[in-house]
Amino acid sequence: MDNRAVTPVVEKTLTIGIVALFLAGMTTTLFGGAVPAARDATGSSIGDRTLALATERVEQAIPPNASHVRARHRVGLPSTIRGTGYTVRVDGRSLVLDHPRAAIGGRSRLVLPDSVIGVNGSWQSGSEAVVAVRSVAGGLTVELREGVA
Amino acid sequence: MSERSERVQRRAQTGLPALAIALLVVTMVTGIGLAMADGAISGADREPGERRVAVSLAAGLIAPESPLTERANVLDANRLARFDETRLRTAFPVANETAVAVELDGRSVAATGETDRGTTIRRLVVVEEQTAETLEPALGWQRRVTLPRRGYRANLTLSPPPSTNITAVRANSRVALHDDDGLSGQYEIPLSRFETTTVRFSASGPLPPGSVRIEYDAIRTRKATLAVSADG
Repeated sequence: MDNRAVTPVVEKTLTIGIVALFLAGMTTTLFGGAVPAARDATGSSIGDRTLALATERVEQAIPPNASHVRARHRVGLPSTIRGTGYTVRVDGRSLVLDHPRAAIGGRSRLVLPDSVIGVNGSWQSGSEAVVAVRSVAGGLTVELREGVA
Repeated sequence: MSERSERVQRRAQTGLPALAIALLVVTMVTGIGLAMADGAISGADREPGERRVAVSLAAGLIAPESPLTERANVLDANRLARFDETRLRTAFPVANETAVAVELDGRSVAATGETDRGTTIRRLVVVEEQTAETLEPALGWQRRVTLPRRGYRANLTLSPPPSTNITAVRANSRVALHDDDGLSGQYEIPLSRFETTTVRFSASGPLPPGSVRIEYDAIRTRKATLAVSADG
């Protein structure tokens, strides 16, 4: 019966050990898998929306059948997605969203009338995004540029 | 060790089951929280890409430059009948990358894939049908005839009897054709789409039935719903 006083110490030690193990396991699960996955999922959803918005704004910037056009439209895009900057660039007649995370990004085809003969330029997030439409010989050109509208 | 000391030892560890239950509850709550967050994320996914494609394609199809339209919002029935998947892919390359389907009043016009689970955008349009109708009027003493429908143009075939000279044809008091030596044969006259036309003939003699035949564009319009679906 001399060692009876030890039992609370043993119990507390066991409890501390178990709680520490539990916390370690929980932290690893959450920050190693669940939280980044959720951030990727929301990031990719926001990326899709940003790309859809950008595409729609570019399409809307083109005026209906007109002979001499000079139009500029500002486009409001989020400055970061999942905490990092990104780029929206033109590839052929599509817009491409480039993001450092592989899970975020995409490509969307522009629906443009035949009068549009060229689309070029790119937007870096965080700066002022502007669509400029201009008449040139043979049609219209669309340019994504940064700066003041 | 006596039986008493064993009982004492078991009693000393009563805190451990309580801890286990507490940890279990915390784990369960965390799990439920994660599942709810997942559900919220997937529930908020609205497929903006396919919605954008459907909106853009619908706008492109009813635009004045579209291969389907006569003017903005007015589809030509003949071109609509000839429209198919190949023409859709050529005119709107976006159809190559996304499965889209175009329907008019529930009847499929063109489709490039299954869009059952996609987004559908509806637009109200007018379908215009142009048919050629022929009229062989018996001209009264006023020598005029009113075309029953409005159209862009009319084709006149004049074959007056030898003793009669048709000198002028007026459309709503505007002189459309004029020749003092006599008009005979086929003529095309432009008409206004915005007013009903009365054609009046001036002739030097009698005009029996059959000496004038008018072939006119009859435009029939009906309202319809254009549904554009996109998936993927």
